[in-house]
Amino acid sequence: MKESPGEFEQIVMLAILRLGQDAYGASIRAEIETCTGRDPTPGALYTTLDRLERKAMLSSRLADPTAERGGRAKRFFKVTKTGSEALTEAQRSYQRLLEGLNLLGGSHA
Amino acid sequence: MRKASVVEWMLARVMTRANAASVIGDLEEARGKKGEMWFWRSLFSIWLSCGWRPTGGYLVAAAGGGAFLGYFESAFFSSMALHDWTAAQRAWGSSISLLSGLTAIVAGYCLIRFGVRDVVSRLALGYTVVGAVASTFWWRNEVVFAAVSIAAAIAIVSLLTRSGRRGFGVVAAVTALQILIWPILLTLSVTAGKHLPHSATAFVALLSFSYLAGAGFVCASCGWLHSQLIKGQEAPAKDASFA
Repeated sequence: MKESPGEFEQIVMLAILRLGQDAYGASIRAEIETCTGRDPTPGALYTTLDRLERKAMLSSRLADPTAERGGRAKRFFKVTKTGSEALTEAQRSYQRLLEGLNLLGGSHA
Repeated sequence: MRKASVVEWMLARVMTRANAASVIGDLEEARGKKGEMWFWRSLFSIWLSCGWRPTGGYLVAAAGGGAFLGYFESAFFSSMALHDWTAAQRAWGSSISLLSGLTAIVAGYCLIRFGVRDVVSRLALGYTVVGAVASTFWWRNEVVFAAVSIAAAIAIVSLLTRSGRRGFGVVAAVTALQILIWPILLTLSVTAGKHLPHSATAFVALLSFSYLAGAGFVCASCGWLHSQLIKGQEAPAKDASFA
């Protein structure tokens, strides 16, 4: 059975997809904050990134070290095929649940 | 070559050195804007989130594993007065209760560190449960025979798959390591205790320190072996987002 990503895991993967090739820790946090209005705690974010990588839903690579980060490299993330499929399935489930409800319009018809 | 900072060193205790450097780099980027308080709070939050499992695993292994080991052994020896036993039963019972305690230490650490779905956690837990039943009813030959058969069956089934073989390898290696190090530590503690002033408290403190250090070594070895044998088994990831 395929593992379904949790809510925060989906948020992180969506942020990574939105950022494209510029998805690293700081930019992912900023993107989540901009889109959701919530500032995720760094602890939660980095453990989620590690967990998603262990589940093979994300892959990462270290870039070359840069001077503005004190010679520290950025770790760039990308969503894998497994992650993309799991995310799509999770979003489809949400869509099916939303069918017949007019939540965005404000009524619960 | 860039010199690692103290904060990087701290973080490298709970993640790889390369990841620790990139995380500190991320925090440094926002440090000027968000302030010192935010930097240290974030660092603590990351350390806690990433580090509670190894630390918690060690505590559970040291406390729970030690308690199990003590319980199995004392239950076995104290019940010997109530039942007739043969030399073979004594040898088997003692060995099984000892091995159950040692696998309990592995199970305690792995259940917290890697979760219940982990192959090493499941194998170690399985052997602990089977060993506990056999230790409790050691005088009933059929129970011991059934327990040994189940233990053998678990080993055979685990050897059929790659992950099972690796998981079994970790449990077997860490248990074998414990069989080797605990007598050495005990001998060293007793030898060192002879040089202490005649104080029971000092000797108990020395034994406790040896036990905690030994448990730490066992947990670190288990974590290292696990990272070497189990982690690299995940399915190779295929890129989708930058295709």
